[in-house]
Amino acid sequence: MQQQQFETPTVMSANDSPVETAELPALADWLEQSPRGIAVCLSSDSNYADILPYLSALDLIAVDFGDSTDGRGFSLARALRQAGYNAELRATGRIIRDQLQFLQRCGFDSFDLPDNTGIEAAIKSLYEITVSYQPSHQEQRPVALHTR
Amino acid sequence: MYTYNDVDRQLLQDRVAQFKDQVARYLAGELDEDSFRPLRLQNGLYIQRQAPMLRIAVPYGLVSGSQLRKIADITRRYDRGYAHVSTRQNFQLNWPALEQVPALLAELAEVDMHCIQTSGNCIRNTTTDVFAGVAPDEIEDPRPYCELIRQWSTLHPEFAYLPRKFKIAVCGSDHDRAAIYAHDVGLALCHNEAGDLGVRVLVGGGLGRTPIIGECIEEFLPIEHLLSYLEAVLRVYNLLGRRDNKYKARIKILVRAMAVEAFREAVHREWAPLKNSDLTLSEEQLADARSHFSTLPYSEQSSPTAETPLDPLYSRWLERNTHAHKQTGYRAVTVVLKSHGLAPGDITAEQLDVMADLADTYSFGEVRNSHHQNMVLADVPEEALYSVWQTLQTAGLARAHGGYLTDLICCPGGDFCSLANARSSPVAAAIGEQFEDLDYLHDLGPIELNISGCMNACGHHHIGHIGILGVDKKGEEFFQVSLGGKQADKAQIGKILGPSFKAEAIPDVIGKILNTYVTHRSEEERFIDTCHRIGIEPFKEAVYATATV
Repeated sequence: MQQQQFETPTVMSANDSPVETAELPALADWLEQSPRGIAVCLSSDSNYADILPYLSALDLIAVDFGDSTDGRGFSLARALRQAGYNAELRATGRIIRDQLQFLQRCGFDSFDLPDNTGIEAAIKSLYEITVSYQPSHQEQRPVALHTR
Repeated sequence: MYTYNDVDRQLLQDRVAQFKDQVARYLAGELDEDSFRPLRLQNGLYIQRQAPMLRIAVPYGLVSGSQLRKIADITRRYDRGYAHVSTRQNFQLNWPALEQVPALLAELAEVDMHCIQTSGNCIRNTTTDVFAGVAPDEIEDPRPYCELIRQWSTLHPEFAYLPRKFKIAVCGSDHDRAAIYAHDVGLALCHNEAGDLGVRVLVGGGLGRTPIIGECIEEFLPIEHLLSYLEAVLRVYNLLGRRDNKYKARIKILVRAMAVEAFREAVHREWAPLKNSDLTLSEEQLADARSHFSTLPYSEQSSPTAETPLDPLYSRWLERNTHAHKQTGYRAVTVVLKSHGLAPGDITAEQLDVMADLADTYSFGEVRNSHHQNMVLADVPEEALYSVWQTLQTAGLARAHGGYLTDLICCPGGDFCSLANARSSPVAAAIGEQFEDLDYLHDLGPIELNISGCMNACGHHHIGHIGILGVDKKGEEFFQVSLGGKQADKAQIGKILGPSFKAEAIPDVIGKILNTYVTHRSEEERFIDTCHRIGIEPFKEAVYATATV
């Protein structure tokens, strides 16, 4: 198999987000925009194929996890990264720190965490499992953590 | 068998530390119930009626003697001195305390064992033919491919929060002994006309509330694409599977809703970018996986049966509980775990130690847990069979009813499980007592009896020749009986006989079904064949003519 030491990411910032997730347009609204902005927010049930033609024009894609047990966002991230998207991919909504490492390995590089998440603890979560069997998203980007 | 390397061990150590922290945060109130639930489930921990139930992974059922000794030791110190073998070839403990689970996991990790992904909405332990690698009719040993799937699916970052659990089974012979038609994904190893190895891919099989036989979506998938294709199937399921109703969340419902052709197209769309990616298996990777399961150092000369004692009990055991082996001079031995006084599939700590010793002395240090809730010593030289039998006899494990009515499959039921509608174990015990006579069982021949305590069908009642399902009627336990299901080769779902019965009526009902079979069978005809030939009516008439409904 592809057993490997997992490359742990560098954590870039632990500050408030420069772009507030709450201000991002939902996919349906964004598709209606003219001209379209450079950031969009997907929900778990979005069809990622809808934005494939526009990936190179986007600087930020957020995925809003409606529920912490709804794993669709993990697949959305991997599909977008595989399609060549390589700007900021942000996980937001109901995510918990115990999911950060898997989210990061699926290609997310920025996280909106609930206010009560300790940043230290969140950083620790990113390093818990140090090896992996699967190939992960290749281009490791520094990780940004934001609380809200 | 596959032996752990440093990466495998590091992963277990990391996971043990991670879960220890999660339990501590939960107990300190820092992690709420809803967030903790999927985390503990992904680590095999259920909160059950009596206590937590902890499910220990036994990858494709293969376990070593030293691992068995550790399990025995753990059941003595953390539990009540016994373990349960599940239909998915794992071990279950019924009495560990949540606070002690992290320490228990650390001990399991010492022998390269764990509980990762043995429950929860994720990819579960891959199962296979208990006679993998030794069956004379095998096309290809399925274990290397099970191992590749084990690694690929373990802590896969994308598939930890699926709509529902996901079970994969692999078989390596034409005769399906892994129930691949009753799994979310069933894989049958096969060759194409050019002689290349590949798999036939089935999707959407499953039992539970809506029993469905899996459908073929790929007649021949070249083996190097095994993992990339599975990844595409899982991605389609993860993105499109229903999440609004847990009873409609399995992949079988999605495949039905989309229709198999559209499902296949969706898989191919996702597969396109994955097909020739890092997931494509190289010759080296395949060779490495196979090297862990290369032919055992069998002894070529064997001087067997000359001194076989003329003990009728031994002869019968030899006939019923041992099986042909691809290596001349060897047999595979089934150790039936259906003893009086223990629930089906249960084995005591002392018996686990006996199995460990037998494995180390006679069977290359390996034991297998079977889908039939038994254990198998797969590589016993013929000249050692009598010694093995004597040891098993002393341990209470030599009853010669392998494959007979009383070698039944049964879920833990309402005595332990909080989902169950009914207590399945007492029904199994009553049947065991009523049909104790080995001569009678022998005359009846092979019959598969499956008992589930509820619709979730953990005892696979749909695919038993005789299936028994516990149902709740206004707070009272009743049992519904079905006939004509089968799991071998192409699985088939049984037909319900009629109105359900109280528990105490079941042995009598089974008796009437058996009498009907004996009356109608043609010479040498097996129970299941008579069932299919004469249909359900004669059985119905016999059972409902006088039974107390």
